[in-house]
Amino acid sequence: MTEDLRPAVRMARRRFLTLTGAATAVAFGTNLPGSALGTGGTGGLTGNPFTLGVASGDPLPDGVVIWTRLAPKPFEPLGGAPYKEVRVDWQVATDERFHQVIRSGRATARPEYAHSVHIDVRGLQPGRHYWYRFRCDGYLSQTARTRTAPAPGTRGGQLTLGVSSCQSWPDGYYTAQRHLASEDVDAVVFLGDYIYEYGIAAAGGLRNVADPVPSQFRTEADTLDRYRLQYALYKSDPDLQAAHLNAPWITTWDDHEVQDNYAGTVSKSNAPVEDFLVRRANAYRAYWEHLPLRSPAPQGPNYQLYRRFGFGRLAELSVLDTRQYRSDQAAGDGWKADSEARRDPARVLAGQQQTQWYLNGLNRSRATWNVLANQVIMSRMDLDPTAADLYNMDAWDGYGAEQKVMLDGVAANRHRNPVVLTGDVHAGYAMEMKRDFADPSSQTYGVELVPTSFSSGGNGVDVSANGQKFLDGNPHLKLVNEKRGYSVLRFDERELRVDFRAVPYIDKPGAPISTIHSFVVEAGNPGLNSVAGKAVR
Amino acid sequence: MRIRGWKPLVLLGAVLTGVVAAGITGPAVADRPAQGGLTLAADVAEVSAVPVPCAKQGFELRFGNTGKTAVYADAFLEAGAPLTLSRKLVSSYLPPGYTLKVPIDVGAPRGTAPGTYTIEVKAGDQKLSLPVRVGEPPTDNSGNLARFVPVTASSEHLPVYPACGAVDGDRDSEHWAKTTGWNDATKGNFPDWLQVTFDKPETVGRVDLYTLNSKQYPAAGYGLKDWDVLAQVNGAWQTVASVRGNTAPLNSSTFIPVTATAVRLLALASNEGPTYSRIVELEVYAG
Repeated sequence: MTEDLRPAVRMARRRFLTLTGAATAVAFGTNLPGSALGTGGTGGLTGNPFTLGVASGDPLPDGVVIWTRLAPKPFEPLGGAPYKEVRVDWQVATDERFHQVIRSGRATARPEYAHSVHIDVRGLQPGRHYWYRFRCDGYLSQTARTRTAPAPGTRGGQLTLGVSSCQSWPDGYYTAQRHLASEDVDAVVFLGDYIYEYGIAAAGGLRNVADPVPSQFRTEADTLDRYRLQYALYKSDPDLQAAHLNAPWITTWDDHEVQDNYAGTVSKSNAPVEDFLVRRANAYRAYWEHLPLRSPAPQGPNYQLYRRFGFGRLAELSVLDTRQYRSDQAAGDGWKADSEARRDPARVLAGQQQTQWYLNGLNRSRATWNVLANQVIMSRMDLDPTAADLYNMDAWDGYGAEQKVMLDGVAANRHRNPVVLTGDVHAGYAMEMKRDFADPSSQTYGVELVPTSFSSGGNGVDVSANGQKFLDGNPHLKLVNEKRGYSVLRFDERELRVDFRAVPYIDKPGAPISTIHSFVVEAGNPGLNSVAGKAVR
Repeated sequence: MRIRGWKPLVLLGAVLTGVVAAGITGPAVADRPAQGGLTLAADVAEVSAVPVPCAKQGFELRFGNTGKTAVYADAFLEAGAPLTLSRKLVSSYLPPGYTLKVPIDVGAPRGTAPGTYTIEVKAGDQKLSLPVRVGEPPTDNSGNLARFVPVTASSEHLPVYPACGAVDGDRDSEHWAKTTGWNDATKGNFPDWLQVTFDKPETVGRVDLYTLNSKQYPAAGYGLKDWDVLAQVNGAWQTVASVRGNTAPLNSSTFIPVTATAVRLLALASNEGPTYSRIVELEVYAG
C-alpha cells in the first residue's frame, strides 16, 4: 500500500479548512459553542443551529437540492429547536466568497419535519460548481460546494463519482469520509445503511469516546423521535459533514435505515404488519428529513426513492430501492443452499414495476456508461468453494427468478456498458458479470463494483476466511479487500477507471488513505483490466 | 459568533441578483396544529421503581389517534426530579384508529428518597399524569461487590445483550438472549471490556466469571477464552489476573487483594474465534 496524496487532494483539503473554520464539534449533553450568545433572537433558538452541517444532493443540469436542519442541541427533544416554525435564509453563489450570489431566498423550517429545509434550487447552469450557505437567527452556516450535472446531450468530458455505503457510527471513526471530502469528485453515491438502528452504548463502540454517548441512545430506533436522534448523532460527526460539504450526494437506503434485513412489510422479528408499517413510516420520514432529497416528504409508510440521473451523453445513473418492495427472504434468511423457494418466480426483490422501469430505461439510454446504484450483491456469489452452493438469501441470489430477469436484461444491453455499484457487505469486491458465472470463458457483459464500507465492520482485514472462500468459489470475483474506505470512479468516453481506496484502521482517528487496487473498464469491451495493485488471482 | 447580514464571508459586498425561491421547502401540509383526536394512556396505573442502576422498570405508553386522518404526532414526557426517562419525546406516524405502544424506562438514581413521584405526558390537548412509587434500594448479602453498582462496557449488543445482564444475579446460561447476559457489539474486534464501578474503595481479591455455557452454546465453543482482570487502584489501572485458554463455564481468579474503586474485565479472545465476548455473570469478592 502506498500513501497517495495527489496535488488536487491537498488543494481541496486546504480549501475545506478555510471554509469550515466555524464548523462545530458537538459535545454530548452540554450546550454548544456560541449558545451563550444565541439566547433569544427572532427565531427562538438557543444556540448555533447548524450543528448537523449542510448538504446538497440529487444534481440536475439546472438544479440541486440544498439541505440543512436546525438543531442547536441536537441530542435534545426537537433538536433543541422551538416547537414552531423558524425562518432560514439561503444563498447560492458562483464563487466561494459569495461575490456573485445568483439565487437566494427565505425558507421555513417546520417542527413536523424536524426543522429541516430542502430547497430545490433551480435556474442554475449545467456542469458547474456552486457554493451555498444558510443563515438563521444571526448564525451563519458552513459554506459548501456543489455541482450541477452536465446538460443533456453533452458529449465527452469526464465524470468522477465517489462511492461507498454502510457507516455504522459505533464501528469506528469516519476517517474515510474525511478523505473523501478531499477528493475531487463531481458527486458522491451512497448505497445504503446511512445509519444503523441499534442502540449505542455509552462508550460508543470502537470509538471508545471519553464523553459518554447520552442515555437516550441506548434503545433501538423505532419511533420518529428516536430515528431523528440517530441521524443527529451520525450527522454531528465533523468528518461526515466535511464529505457533504465537498460535493452533492445521491443516496439510497438499504435495510438499517429501518431495521436489519427487513423485507417490504416483513420485519426481522415478524412484528404485526400494522405495527411495522408505522415504524417504516417513521424511518422513511426521518431519512428524508436528514438527506438532500426533493420534496415532498414521505407521508406514511411508502416513498418512491428509485430515480434516475443523467450526466450528458457520458453516463446515466439509476438508483434502486431493493427494500421497500421485496418479498420475505427465502428459507428463513441467512446463507442457504439452492432451493425451490429461492427460485420462486412469485418472490421479488426490486419488484416488477421497478425492474421494468430500470430495464426500460437501460434500453432507451443513449449514454456511454449506464451505472446502477444498487444495495445487495446482484451477481452470483457462492460462499461454498466446493461443488455445493451456499447463497445469501438477503441478496439478489436469494431472489433467483427476478435476479435472472435483471441479469438477462443487463446482458442484453452489454453494448451500453452496464456498471453495477453495490453496498451491504462491508467489503471491496470487483466482479465481472458473466453469462455463466460458473464458466470463466463465457461472455462478460458488465462489471459489478462493491466499494467497501465507510466504517461498518470496524478496522477490517485484507481478506477474511470467508473472503478467501468467495475467491475460491467465484472465478468472476477479481478483488476482495475488507478494509474500510470508498471507491473513486472516473468515466470518460473511452474508459472507466476505478480506484479502490482504503484506510488501515478506524478505531483511532487520522489513518492515511491509499489506493489498494485500480481497474480500467474499456467502453465497448466489458471486463476488468487490473492496472495497479497486487494481483489477486 | 452571531452576525448581522451575511458579513463574515462577504468581503467586498454581495451582489444580490434576483431573489428567487424555487420550491421553498417541504410540502405545505402542516399536520402539527391539527393534532386533535390523540389519546394518551399507560399499561399500569402506577409505576414501581427502586433506586439502583440496571433496574428494569417503567411503563408502556399508549399513544393513539382516534381521528379520521393519519397524523404525525408528538408526545412530550417529563418526570419529577430526580427520576429519568429513556425518552422525553415520542414522535410517530399514527394512522387513523392506531395506537402506538412504546416502552418507557424509568430510572431512579441511587439516593433517590423513597416516595411518590409523577410523570407527565402531553400531546396536543391531551395530558396524562402517572404516579411513580420509589421504594427502598435492594441490598446484597452475598459479598458480591458487582451487584447494584454502575456497570459499563466497551459496547453492548442492544437491546438483547446489555451490560446490565452481566451483573443481574442471574448465572443461568439458558436465559441467554433474554437480557440476562452481556454480548459486545463489535464483531471480530478485540479487546472488549466490561466494568463495574464502586461507590467507595473496596477490597477486591477474587473475580468469578461465568461465560456463556448453554446446551446450544457450550463454553468451549462460544465462551470467553482469554481475558485480563484489571483493578483501578488510586486512579490507576493494574492487571491483577490473567486467564488464558479458558473452556470452563466458571473461572475464578484469585489474587493478592487490592483496594480498588473499579474492576474491569478486558476480554481478549473467544473460543468461537474472531466474533464476540459473551458473559452471563461477573461477580467480584473480597477474597
